[in-house]
Amino acid sequence: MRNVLTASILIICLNACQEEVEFSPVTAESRLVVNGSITTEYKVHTVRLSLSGPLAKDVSFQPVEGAEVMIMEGDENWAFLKETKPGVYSSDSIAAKVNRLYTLEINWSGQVFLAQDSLKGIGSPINPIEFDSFGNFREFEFRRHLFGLNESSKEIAVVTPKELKTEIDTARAGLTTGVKLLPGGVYEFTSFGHPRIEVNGLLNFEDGKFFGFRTGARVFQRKFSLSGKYYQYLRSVFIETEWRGTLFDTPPANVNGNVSNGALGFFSAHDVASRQTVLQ
Amino acid sequence: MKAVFLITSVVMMMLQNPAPAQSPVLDQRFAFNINNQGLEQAISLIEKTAGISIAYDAVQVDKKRVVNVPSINLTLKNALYAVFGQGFEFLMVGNRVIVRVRPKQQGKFSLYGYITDSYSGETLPGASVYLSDDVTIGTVSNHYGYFSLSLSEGKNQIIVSYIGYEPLKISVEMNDNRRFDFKLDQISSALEEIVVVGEKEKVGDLSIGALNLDIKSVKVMPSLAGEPDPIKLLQLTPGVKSGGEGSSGLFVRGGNLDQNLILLDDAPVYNPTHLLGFFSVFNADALKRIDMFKGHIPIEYGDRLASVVDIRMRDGNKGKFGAEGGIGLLATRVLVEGPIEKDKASFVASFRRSYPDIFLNLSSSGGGNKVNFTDGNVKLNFKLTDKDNIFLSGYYGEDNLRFFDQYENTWGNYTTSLRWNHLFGKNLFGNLVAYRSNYRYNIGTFVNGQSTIDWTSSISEYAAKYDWSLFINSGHLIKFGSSAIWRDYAPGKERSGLIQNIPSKEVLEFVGYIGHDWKVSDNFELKYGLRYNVFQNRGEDEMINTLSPRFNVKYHIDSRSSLEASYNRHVQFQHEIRNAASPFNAFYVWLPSGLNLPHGISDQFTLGYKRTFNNACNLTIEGYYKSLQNQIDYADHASIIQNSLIEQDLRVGEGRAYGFETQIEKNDGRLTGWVQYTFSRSLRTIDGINNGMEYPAFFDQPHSISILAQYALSKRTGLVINWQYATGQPVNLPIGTFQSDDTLIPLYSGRNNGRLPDFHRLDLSYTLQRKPGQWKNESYWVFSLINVYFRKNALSLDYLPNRDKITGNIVDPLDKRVFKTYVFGLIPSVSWNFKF
Repeated sequence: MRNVLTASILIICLNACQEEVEFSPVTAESRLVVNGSITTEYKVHTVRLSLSGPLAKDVSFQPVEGAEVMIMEGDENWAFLKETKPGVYSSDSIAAKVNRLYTLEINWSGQVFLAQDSLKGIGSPINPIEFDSFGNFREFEFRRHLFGLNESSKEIAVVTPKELKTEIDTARAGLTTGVKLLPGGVYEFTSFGHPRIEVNGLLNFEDGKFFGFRTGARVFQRKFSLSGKYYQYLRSVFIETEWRGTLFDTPPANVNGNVSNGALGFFSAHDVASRQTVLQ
Repeated sequence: MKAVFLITSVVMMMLQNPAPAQSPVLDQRFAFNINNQGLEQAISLIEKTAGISIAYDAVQVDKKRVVNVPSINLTLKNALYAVFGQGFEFLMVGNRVIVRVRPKQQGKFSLYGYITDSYSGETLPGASVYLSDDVTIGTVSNHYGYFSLSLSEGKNQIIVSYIGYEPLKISVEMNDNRRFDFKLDQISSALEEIVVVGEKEKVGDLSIGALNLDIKSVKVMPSLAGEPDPIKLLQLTPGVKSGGEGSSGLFVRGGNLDQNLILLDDAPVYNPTHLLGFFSVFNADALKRIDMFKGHIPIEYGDRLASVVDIRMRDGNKGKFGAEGGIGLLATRVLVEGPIEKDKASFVASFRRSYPDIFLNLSSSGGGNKVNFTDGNVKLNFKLTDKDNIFLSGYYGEDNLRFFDQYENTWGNYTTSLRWNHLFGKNLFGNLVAYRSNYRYNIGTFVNGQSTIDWTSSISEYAAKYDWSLFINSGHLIKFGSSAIWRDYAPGKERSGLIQNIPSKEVLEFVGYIGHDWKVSDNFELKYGLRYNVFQNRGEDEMINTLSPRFNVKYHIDSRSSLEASYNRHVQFQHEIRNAASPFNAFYVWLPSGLNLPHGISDQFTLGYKRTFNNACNLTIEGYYKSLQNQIDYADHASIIQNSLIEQDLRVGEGRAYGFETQIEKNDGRLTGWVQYTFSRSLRTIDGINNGMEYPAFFDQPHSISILAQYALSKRTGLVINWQYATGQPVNLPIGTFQSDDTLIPLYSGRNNGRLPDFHRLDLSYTLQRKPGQWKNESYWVFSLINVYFRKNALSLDYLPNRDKITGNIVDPLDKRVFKTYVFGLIPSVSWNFKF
């Protein structure tokens, strides 16, 4: 209760109120948006292509169909991606390698779009999640962003209960940014480590949330390496999304990716480390 | 450097030629007791008491003169004046006093001295002394209450006046240079005080763009959480913007936050805000006076491009002990003052603390959450002799913010200044200052209870300066001085060594200046001067030399109206790096000029007209154009904390600002206040931003109006109404969106391509004094309503996920809409204030 009061005071003092407003923006021309990544995991890799949209409620983004998409490793062709769904281009099962430069090439509508990222190795080993014990329950504090770490990182932890649930408590969905409640009561936690302090991230007053699981649940952690350019892209994304709306915002600006020819989005390459444990 | 040496040499030469009556023996005090004695007997008694001999020409003296010298400690010189009269002067040769007739001074004599509060002994800076029948002949006391006025021989009717004090009318016989220390009585009721910004035209001292603030007005203004804030009152004056509702920032005539020199007893305050910018660090109880200069800036000030805010602390009551303070919803403040030695030395000490954490007992919780600030002011002053005063001032302030076990921030300033002012003869006033100022912040983060980052940024400034004022006569005032400044910048240090520090830098700056205030004729005044700066960033070889001329001409159309024009060049050798869309922040990084960060330059042209109506109303109209060089802005999503290559994220370019300000002010009667309208633009052209095209600065608000009215309902009650309007601030408005993974990201066009909705707000305050006799000491309540008609003024427009109105949860991260962020709803507050 005390923490609730504390948080309330801080938020009242330092986080202002918000209200939806009617807004009629000048509409920008649609631009190609690229969302794609490859990893060192042996699997099917996908690249999603779409168009940017207007600033409207219930906006839907038109998929980009009929593009030719390929990925090169260094100077050599590595994978040709086929359109498996409208706007979704998939490779065969394949694994990327550390310390290689990967280039995404897209031919669409008479234009060529290129994006490059270097696949950096994982810097430090994956740290196990620290759970506190309460009888048959194991609890941990989830913090979406951690500042002041030795390296930038992205981690995804999936916690699967010993017995999958048939009914899901949807009241918990949406409670915390970075937490997904999947079918069967499986939780997916996505968090980021930041090497620097970000004032607008810190003063966002995002309280840590505690999640508890029964013993026997399986915890599968994956840690992704991030190239310097991709981390800067992610940082810009957070500045424009999760860290916006406080009194301490930085001036809004476009999130610039690594795709040429005016396209938006990012094509990224990651080394992945993983570990799996069962809660005892 | 030659200019500095030249000025110093001139001063030294002047000091080596004192007037005849400067012997130490003549200033020694003796207990003379001469009652109704003849001249010769009186001389004999003085010789015996002082152990000297007196030589005089018997033909020149009045032998029938009857002499009375009171039996108090009196200087030998004053006793001799009592015996021989003011028409003589005295020269000490060995053990002998030579008495001779003072040569005639072409019918002009100097009236000089100090102006003080009769109750507390506080000196009154900015008080006016002028002839009652010719208001164009006058002067104004300096920061230490000292004045010097040249008057014609014979009887002169003098008026001495100061805001909030009963004017003093006195007849002065001038047949010699005379020292007169005037004591003024305060107007009895605080509620009869008027909100005054500016001075009456008749004195003619204030230049265009200058104003002074009555501290008493601050205390009855509508205030957030009952905390009186002088900076918030400055924000209502023409040409000054806050940069965002609720902030205590100052954006003056198109200048950025860091372009204001804010001085507290001569020491600069680098971050004048508490609680991340909601309140200023200045406790109104501890302050005596605030002057602001934004047009023609007096020659003794420099090193900033936009304005000077010169804040002076109280000296403390020299006569009796007292205390005052107040209890508001946010903080409590207490001040004590009193004599150390009656009429000779005094002290004042104030302390203020906010207490949200105390109320909730937060500081003892497991997370140790905190949100509070404290500050304190201390000042000691000593009157060593009639000509020497020493002041020691100090300020300390600290904010603390801790959020659960995630992070903790502290930040604050401290300043110390030691000043010695000395009167050399009757015309030369010198003020020697040594000061230190420091601003620092610290951010610590924690993961699993372990500290991961302990990051500190700071700036320290050490300086010594000597300012001189030579009052030649009422037509000529020469100001000159020099200073040496050392600054130590530590933009970022991390204790653990895990993170690369931002390299520390040290700079050295020398300044010399000379200026002449010249009253050419009854209608024509000229002020001109030159500042010379030598700056060296010690990490670099290059030494920067700059000359900054200032020029101001004033033409009195008649006794009630004047025209004024000025040109000022200013230079600034340091920059505050703050990549924020609003003024709310405490994590500033200060960097010195250098090869990658050239010094800022401002050239301002100003034209103004003033008119006084019936001694109660003033009309002021001013226009200005300002050209700005080497202005700072930031690359998109620039990182300024823990960035060892911080200068790579900065962009440097040009700027221009222009505007028109008009104000009608009523400063007498039951209804006082002002109405002001400002048109102003502030534009930047910087390579790498907005495709190199000109764009408005984020504090560019073309139109602003403020109406401030104070009405004395009765002797005990008063009402203050304050309405403000301003064009919405420029912002980057989104024009589209795209999806990246699970989130929607906004798209923007140019820098500051849109504007927020217009800002307007009405505030009220009601002041109630206790009935006289109910409590023998003074106390009053101030009830405030901020944002009376609940205007939700937008601080920003953002593209954010829609949240469930009841739970606050984000139901669908892809359901994003445009939200405005606003700071205030209707905010009532109350404070109780006391003085005894």
